[in-house]
Amino acid sequence: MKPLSLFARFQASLQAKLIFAFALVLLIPTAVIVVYMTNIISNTVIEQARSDKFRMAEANAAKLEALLLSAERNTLFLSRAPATRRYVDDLGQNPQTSTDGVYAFLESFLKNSDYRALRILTLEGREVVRLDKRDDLVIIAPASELQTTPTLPYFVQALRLPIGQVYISNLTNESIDGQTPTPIIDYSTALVNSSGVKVGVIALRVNAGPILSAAISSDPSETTFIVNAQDGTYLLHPDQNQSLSRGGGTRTLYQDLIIDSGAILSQLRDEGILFGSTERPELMQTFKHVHPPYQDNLQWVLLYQYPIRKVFEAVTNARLVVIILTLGALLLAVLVAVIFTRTITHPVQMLAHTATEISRGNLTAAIPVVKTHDEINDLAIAFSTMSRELQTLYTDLENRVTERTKELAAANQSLEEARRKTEEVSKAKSIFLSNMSHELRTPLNVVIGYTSSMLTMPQMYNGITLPDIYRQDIQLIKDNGNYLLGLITDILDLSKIEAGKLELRPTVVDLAEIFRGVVSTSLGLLKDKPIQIISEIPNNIPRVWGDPLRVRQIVLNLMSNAVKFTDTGSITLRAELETQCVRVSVTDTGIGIPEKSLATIFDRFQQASADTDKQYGGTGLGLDISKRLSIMHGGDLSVHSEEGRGSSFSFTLPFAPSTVTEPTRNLPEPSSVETLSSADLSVEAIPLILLVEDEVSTREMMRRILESKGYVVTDTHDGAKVMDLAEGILPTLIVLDVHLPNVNGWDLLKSLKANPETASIPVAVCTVETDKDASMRLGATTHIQKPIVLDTFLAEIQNILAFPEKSV
Amino acid sequence: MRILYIEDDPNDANLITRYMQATQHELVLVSDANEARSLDAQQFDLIMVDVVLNHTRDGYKLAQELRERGYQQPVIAVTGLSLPKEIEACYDAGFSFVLTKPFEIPQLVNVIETYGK
Repeated sequence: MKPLSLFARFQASLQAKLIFAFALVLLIPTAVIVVYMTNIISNTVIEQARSDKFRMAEANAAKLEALLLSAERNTLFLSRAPATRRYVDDLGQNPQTSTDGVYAFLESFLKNSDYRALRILTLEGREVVRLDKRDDLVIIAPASELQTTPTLPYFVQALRLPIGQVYISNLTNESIDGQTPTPIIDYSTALVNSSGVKVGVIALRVNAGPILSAAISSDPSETTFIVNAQDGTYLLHPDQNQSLSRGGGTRTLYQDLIIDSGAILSQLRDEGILFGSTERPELMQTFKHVHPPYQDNLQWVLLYQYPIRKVFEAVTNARLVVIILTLGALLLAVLVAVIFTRTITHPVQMLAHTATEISRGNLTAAIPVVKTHDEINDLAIAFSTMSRELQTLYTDLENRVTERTKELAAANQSLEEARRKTEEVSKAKSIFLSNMSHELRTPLNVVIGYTSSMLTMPQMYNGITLPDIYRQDIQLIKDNGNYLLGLITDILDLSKIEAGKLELRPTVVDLAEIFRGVVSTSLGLLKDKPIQIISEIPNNIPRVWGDPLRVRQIVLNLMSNAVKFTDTGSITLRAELETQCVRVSVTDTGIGIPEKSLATIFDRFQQASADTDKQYGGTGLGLDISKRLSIMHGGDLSVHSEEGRGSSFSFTLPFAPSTVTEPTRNLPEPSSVETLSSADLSVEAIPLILLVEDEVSTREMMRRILESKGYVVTDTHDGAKVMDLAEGILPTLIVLDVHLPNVNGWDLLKSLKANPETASIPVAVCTVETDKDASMRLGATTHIQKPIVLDTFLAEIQNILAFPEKSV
Repeated sequence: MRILYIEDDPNDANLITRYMQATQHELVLVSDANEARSLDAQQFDLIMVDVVLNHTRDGYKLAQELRERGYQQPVIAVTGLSLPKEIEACYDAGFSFVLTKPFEIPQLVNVIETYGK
């Protein structure tokens, strides 16, 4: 088997189609969802990143502020502590106030904190107390190292502020003896004595490193900047050289690096995110302003830079997750579809397989068991039921066939019996008809035989002639005997027709030949009636197909009727060519038939009128028989008549098979229209050859060659019929084989020549005998030696026909 | 002329006998086929046979036998059979001519005079 293409296999598989449909149905919404989801996810992830960063920035800013404010609170706490207050009260009244109490308090404070230094200054800017912390060690500065710094910002600004407010300096670096610079912030506030008068300033130096570090993002991908909003310097920068807080010391202009400074530094916006700004499209920058309350001096901006690439990486990751999940779901769905469709297609396949088995005649094929309880199960149950029904039906059918076969055989037998019976009946009918005919004729022979003897044979009665007084009566008996004979003949004909026993012996019929015989007989019937008998037969009339005996019977019947019912005028026997047949008609100028009788004229025993019978005689069966015979010849007998003017009867005969298109009589003869009367019997000029030959092959050979030359040939094998035929048809020439079974051919020749009617017909003797003189002596025109040579034979015949006078 | 006539119907036999008596012919009349078989056929110039003899169609067989034994002279069937099939059967059996009953006496005369020559 040719391997199927993938497509063909797909087409052939219901399962594949179902899975495909399943996947397709699933895929479309999934694809839509995936596209939608990835968009959503992308937005969400970006949003998430933004808000995360933003929240972190806020939190860090808050932490930063809290740390800054914590130092502020401690500064206030120190300024208001009792030890400090006592010292301050004293300081106002006595410049040489003992510092012991305050030193102890401040030293313990500093020791427990991570502040770098503490100092108290007088209104003149002169340090009175100064503690420095170096590596967890608090060093009290001796009086010799105390400085007067009246211009330092933390001193000046602290005194300017309202009482209770703390000044916070900007971030600076403290460099001590070549050590790594430390970022510091100075906090200061005015010291107020009990009277509420400012008497000095207390300043706290804070290590800014831990505060700034608190703002650094926990995300290593994120870069943290702290910028001084007032001058744009980096307070914190990943690059130490640029960061003030890391001791870089170089004050780099913020604008150089952060081009979006305008937006970020603007006081109008406290916080914000720049996502892929024009200047830095690769970054997401989150910023937050930090400015503790009442501290106009401290204006910081916390800035985080985060590569957008990272954000998109997250987006891509999220998308990937969605797609993987979707594909996984799709795969799972297909798997489910495969399993699910298998539960449909597998039972269907099994059912199909079983159906194939059943169609092959295996009615007992096992019905697959379907374990589900769904439509497939219903189908399987229905299928199983159908299969069982089929099996039952098939068995039933087989039984019935057997039964019918038996019945048929019985019917055939009875039919055969019936046929045999019919045959028997048919045979019995034949025998009955034959016997009836015989038995009826036998007594008639006595009637006719004896009466005719009495009338014509006085020598049989000792020479006593029948006295006239008896003659009339005896004649009456004889005539009635003949009438009875006619009646019997007709009735038997009818019986035969009705019993289907009258069989036509159809052959090629030459109407001209029939016409001649009938006309001849009819002339005899005329007696002395002054009637012209006209025979019309055009030369293009082909030969017809029929039983010559029966055709003659019909024509003769019509003619004898015409003679019977015509007293004067003419009787015309005519043949006419029609499209598919030849019409034969007999038209007379007799008494005609009344219109009311036309319908019943063909009925049995019906004559035109009740007294017709008496006046004209006849059995009334003739037309019935003629009509039936016409019908048997494929036509019908019809009548046209006018009372007092005459009648015309006609019937049709089909063309002989081989002569439908080609009239056989090619001889250049005029149309044969002959007018005859009882006084004119011998007008006959149609060349017609009577062929007498008992050997079939020779006869057929002769017939063929003669017909090929256009002659009309009538043949017979029966010598006994020759005389009758010769008298009936008066042939132009007789070809006679003198060696005939049963008949002595020489005697036949003698008879022909002795009969005045046939004496003038030339006879060509055809024989194996060589005695030519014997033939000539007996009156033969020529002697043809057998075996015949066709050319010689034909030449002899043509010679005789060309010179008929020679024969006389 | 010597004529053999085989006829079982006494009426017909009588008619023909009476005719023969009026002529110069010599007639031998028998009434069944077996009787005819016992005679020497060759001594007759003409044989006439009624085909139906004692209700059996022995005439056919008789004609056949005559021809088989080489009888060359005319054998005439004189019979009430008239159906075309039956007439044909007569010729097939070897009869020279069939004279159908009923016949008028001149017909009989014709036949005898024609075939008896």
